[in-house]
Amino acid sequence: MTASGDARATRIGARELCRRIDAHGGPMTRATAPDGTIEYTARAMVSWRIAEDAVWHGGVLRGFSESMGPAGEGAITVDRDTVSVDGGRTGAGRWRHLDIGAVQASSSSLQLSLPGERLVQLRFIADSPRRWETLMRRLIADAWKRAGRGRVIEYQPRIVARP
Amino acid sequence: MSAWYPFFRVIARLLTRVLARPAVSGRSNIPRTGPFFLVANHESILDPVLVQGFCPRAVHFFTKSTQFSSSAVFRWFLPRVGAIPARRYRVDPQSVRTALRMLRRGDGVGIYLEGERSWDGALQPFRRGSIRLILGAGAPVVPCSVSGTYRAWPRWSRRRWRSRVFVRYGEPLHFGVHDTRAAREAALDGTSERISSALLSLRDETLAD
Repeated sequence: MTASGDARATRIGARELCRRIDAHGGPMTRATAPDGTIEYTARAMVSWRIAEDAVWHGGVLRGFSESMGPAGEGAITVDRDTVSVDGGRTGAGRWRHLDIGAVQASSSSLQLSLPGERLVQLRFIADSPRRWETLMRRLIADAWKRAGRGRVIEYQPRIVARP
Repeated sequence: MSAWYPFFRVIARLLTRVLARPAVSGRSNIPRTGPFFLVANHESILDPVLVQGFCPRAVHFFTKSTQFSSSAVFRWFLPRVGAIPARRYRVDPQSVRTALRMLRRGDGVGIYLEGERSWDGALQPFRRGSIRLILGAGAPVVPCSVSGTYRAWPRWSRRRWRSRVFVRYGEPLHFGVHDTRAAREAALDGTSERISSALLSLRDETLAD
């Protein structure tokens, strides 16, 4: 593998690459909560669904699409049991993983279905939607398992588990 | 289908022939008449252009609903190329109703069973709701393997790369109508496996050529 530093590229092994990633705080932005547990957090442009529009063509209703409101810079923070989204002026909230309805990456954004038919979309400023999708799915799967709801087998369009 | 469809199909073929020199095979496997499902793997944003562009019959493809609201251009364009908006963050009965209506009219309905583009080019697990739709409708299923588009334009890249692309339509698979929920649930895993095997076999055949 090749790492760039000091304006020149050097070849390093996978083990060394992992060590350097850990030295920079791990593969994701990480923080330690006051109680000592690990939290993950990332800056993102946050927007919320404000409406659903009908899509018509040739006099036939083909389906619906969502309209997202204006995006505001904010952050997502997750711990073992909850996810918090702070969208600045656009809104904020905190939910249990058990209450999340669906998780999906859409293009370069992460979408979470929240209680009350709410939908939040996060476009990460310096992080990967793929990694956040994986992290969220893992946390939700763990929460469902701990709550005795079974093994999660699907995360969209709704979370489905098998005993 | 919209009168614009044949026009955009010609544009799609011309564009992809210039940009990627696609190798297309198995077009005779598309039923000449009657309803059918066209199911393809999804590696890149280029896939719809290729799969629909070279399919000899018009196909209504499930398309993520966010695409319709992404711009006024897409909102105008997508219904004219047969796109059916599907909300992926919730169960969407309207998209199913629209698809069933198209099938009853004798049209083709396209589904990317993985539900989204692959991040690494590998085939992902299929959405169970889409398999249920296939089992409930009972129309023949034409598998379509797309190869090379992940190398040409992967999901994580903003840049397009030069790569040869291959589109291979396979022989239709028949699962019959499963008109009870219990029957659909019982057939779910087996149907997924058969379609997945068909797509992987088509890809292997492409690599072997």
